Amino acid sequence: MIMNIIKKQWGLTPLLFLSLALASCAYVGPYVDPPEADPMPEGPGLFTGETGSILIGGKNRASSARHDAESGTLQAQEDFVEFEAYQRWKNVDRFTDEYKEFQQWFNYKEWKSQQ
Amino acid sequence: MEINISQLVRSVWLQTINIKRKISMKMKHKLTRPFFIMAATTAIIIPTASQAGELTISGQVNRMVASVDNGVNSELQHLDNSGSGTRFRLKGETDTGNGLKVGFYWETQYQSNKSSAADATSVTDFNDETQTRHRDLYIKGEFGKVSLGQGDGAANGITETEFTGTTYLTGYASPEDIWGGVTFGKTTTKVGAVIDGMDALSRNDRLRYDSPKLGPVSISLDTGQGGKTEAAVRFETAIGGGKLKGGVGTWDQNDAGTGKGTSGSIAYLDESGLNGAVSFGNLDAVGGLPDPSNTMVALGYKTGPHSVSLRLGTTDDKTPGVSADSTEIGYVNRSLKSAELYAAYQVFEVDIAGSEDIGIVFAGARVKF
Repeated sequence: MIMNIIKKQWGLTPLLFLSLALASCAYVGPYVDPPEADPMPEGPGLFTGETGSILIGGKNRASSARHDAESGTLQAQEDFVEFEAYQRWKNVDRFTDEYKEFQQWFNYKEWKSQQ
Repeated sequence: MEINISQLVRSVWLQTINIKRKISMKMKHKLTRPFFIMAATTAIIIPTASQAGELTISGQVNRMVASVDNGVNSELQHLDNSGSGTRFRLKGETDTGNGLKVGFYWETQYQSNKSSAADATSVTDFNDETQTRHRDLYIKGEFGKVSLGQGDGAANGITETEFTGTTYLTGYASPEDIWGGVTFGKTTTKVGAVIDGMDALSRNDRLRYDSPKLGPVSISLDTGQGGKTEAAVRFETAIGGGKLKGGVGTWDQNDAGTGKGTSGSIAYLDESGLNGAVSFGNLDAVGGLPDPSNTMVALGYKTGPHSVSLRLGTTDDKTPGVSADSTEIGYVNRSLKSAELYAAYQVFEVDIAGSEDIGIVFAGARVKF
């Protein structure tokens, strides 16, 4: 049975070899979801706010971070500010002058931290 | 969604200063024992929060009005855009606490008068359809992701790489997905019989593996009913001040059918907003017939909330010996929160005796709720 499956997949062999060759020499990074075919758009929804979805069970990550921030711990507050900045950064158009300004600001922060 | 970066920078800057001020005040009161306890508690709270699971609900409605003219008949149609149909979904995911996440993806499409079934002669409501899109379980971590159930095949969407901003709304490499039911003039030939983007095996019941990023590359493999197999390699990288992405995939239906082929696409977005894409597909014909093939070129420009694109496609031998062309110019506006407004002009031509060109003007909106 296994041989049959391998035989059936023989047509994919060149692609698999190419993949393995790439895998053996490339840097293995984090897992990132591949693009979905015909996906729903990212971004806010009409009734679902900035996240674009309604939480009907469990604990939303964004609201969890907000709760921790509001609980008064300084580290959590700093993390939450950074998390919000990250969320905005994810949605921003990277080719605008405003984005370049944003990047410069981060560069400035990095430079300042090294002083 | 528009973001005023200057305000953002100011806002983050002010909040940062505020926090630093609080830290400074704490320092003035000396780092007492309760503060150390608080810091230690934070270290526990943060990972706990990241382990929280969530179940979310979301959806979209995509409706349009289209003037469909096949050279003989012309009728105004009220349709659900099959490029990205009206749908509803549930997603759930939870952290298992050991670097793994387990989740599910459940999505169903509900269309009334789906555009892919429309013809220039349609004068009554003709279709009310429910379609299963995703019934998927998965586990993911540093090793990648394993999915089990109905979902995208490993190579699904491999011909559809674009940066145009109009993809799936006004058109893409498979315009027959939107307009496949329209008949050419007085012939019995429909768009779907001669135009085909040749994009692998769509969504189906399968066991799928997706690799983590290997440099700029990722690999996807799956196997499904009847020994069906799909494989795809995708890449994405920054180059020349812009972004380049694409992929190539191959599939074989094995016992599930005769479908077997290879297809792919590549797209580039320049920092000016100009963008382009090329898509190709090739099927292995059976019985000594010529191999069907498809090519599509897209050019686009994006600025602010505006996206405009031009697509030119040709399919050869989907019906043996027949060549058909598709030309489409589309525009999408994203000025409104949660809504995308679009308008387009689509033309289909085929070299069959007695056929007439098809011309379709359409406009609509996709609203995420």
